[in-house]
Amino acid sequence: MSQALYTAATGMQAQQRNLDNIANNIANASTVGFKRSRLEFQDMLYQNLRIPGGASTSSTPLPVGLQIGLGARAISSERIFLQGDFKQTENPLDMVIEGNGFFQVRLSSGELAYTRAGSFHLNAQGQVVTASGEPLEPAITIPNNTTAISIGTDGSVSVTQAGQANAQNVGQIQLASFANPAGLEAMGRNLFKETSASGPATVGAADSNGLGRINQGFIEGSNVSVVEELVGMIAAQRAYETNSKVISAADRMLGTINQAVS
Amino acid sequence: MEHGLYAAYLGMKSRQQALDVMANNIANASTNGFKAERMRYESVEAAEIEAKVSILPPNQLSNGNNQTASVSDTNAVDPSLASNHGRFVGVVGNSSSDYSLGTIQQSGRSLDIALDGEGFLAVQTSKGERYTRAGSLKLDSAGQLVTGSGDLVIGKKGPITLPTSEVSISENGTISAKGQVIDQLKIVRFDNPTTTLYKEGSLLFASNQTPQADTKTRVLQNNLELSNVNAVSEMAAMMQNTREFESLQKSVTLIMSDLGRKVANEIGKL
Repeated sequence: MSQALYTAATGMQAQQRNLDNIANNIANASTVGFKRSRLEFQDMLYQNLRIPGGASTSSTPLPVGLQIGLGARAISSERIFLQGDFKQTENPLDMVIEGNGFFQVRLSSGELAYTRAGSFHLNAQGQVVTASGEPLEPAITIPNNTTAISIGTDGSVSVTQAGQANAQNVGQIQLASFANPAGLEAMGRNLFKETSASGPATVGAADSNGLGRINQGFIEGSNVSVVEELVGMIAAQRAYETNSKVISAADRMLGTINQAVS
Repeated sequence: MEHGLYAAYLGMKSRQQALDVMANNIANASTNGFKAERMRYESVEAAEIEAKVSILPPNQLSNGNNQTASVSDTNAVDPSLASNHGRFVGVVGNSSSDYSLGTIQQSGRSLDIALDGEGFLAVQTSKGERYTRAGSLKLDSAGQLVTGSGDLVIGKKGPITLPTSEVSISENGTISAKGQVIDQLKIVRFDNPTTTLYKEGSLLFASNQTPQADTKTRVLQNNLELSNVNAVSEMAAMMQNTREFESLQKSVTLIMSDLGRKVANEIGKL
């Protein structure tokens, strides 16, 4: 049968995945701390019918050969860790990391997860937790009769309590960084998990050793650019259509052969 | 009669190969760093066909991981048939890559590079040194600079290890991080890439020649080179290709039925 049919099918499949990825980016255009991802494609194997440079006679090499490729495939989704927009909220437990680094979060399973989404809350025990209730690591507890929370650029958390003049330090937020952040595994809920590709986490205080500064009272918006995604969506849709035209061309040629035989 | 029939067969066969080539181009319209494949036809006489058949390399798939699949020899010609018809003319197809520059698009990622020029990035694979234009580089868990398929990118001092993914890459390929020069990317060029390079898949090119160092190609950081496939011209060529195929089929029908029968009848009457 015609190779072109299967080659075009791989192209359509690749564009389908491309569209799935764009859909997820657009769906998360308003998700705090979301980082967009980008699909990457590669060409597949080649059939070498004639290799260029092979001998055409004993003294002359073939100037060009005949290689027929077997299509395309999606090989990776690369997460783009560009900084998102900052939005001021004035909420004392909203933080953005300006630069490198992730907040550490302790999951209910005991494992650590990492996030850029810095909108935190207090739970019934006064602990600083994410919107899904996972506590920040190292754990920070805000005392009951607190009137003001202040978080420094280096992540030190201090509180002012009713009836006291001096602020009191209650903990230090530590950030984690990775050799290869693109190798982190997305778990959903804005959380990432360490993998062998990302390398182990290097933990330190904010604003030191290449880690970013913490800004209190802001949140980091999604870094999805809707316009860019829409342009990508149009391109993916057109490429999908073009691939489907190849299928009809291949089908037509096969039909022609059948006509010749009848 | 056999002359025409065989010429039409070669014509149809090469149009089918051309469609395969176009299908692969269109399938790779979104593959960054991909170079389109161009089919060109070459007229041959029977004596030449014989010569080409005899030097055909054993058919194989270029990827070493998957050599079980084999391809039937599309150019194989029955030598006895060819030698009987010394002057009959046919057509065979050749393909070569179009090395023109694809659109360069800003990507905003520090490990994305586009090569503005005719250079290639040298990478180290399990099969030896290979060349690529796909500049979406990554770090592996050891902090080494790798391509999308995990092959090591080579610098002047061998594999490149980076302390962070926030690096700056200058136009001549010098990589520096935190103000310190780490290495320089090995950018190479070939005098005549259409004859010395062939595709291996996974955006890699292999060569039987040693390349030269390239100093003219500019490395553009935060950019990616898109596929140089032009979907519009591929579509136009595909339509023409289908029509040519149909015309050839008509000539086969003609030779097989009316004309052929007529010629046979006329000769029979003599």
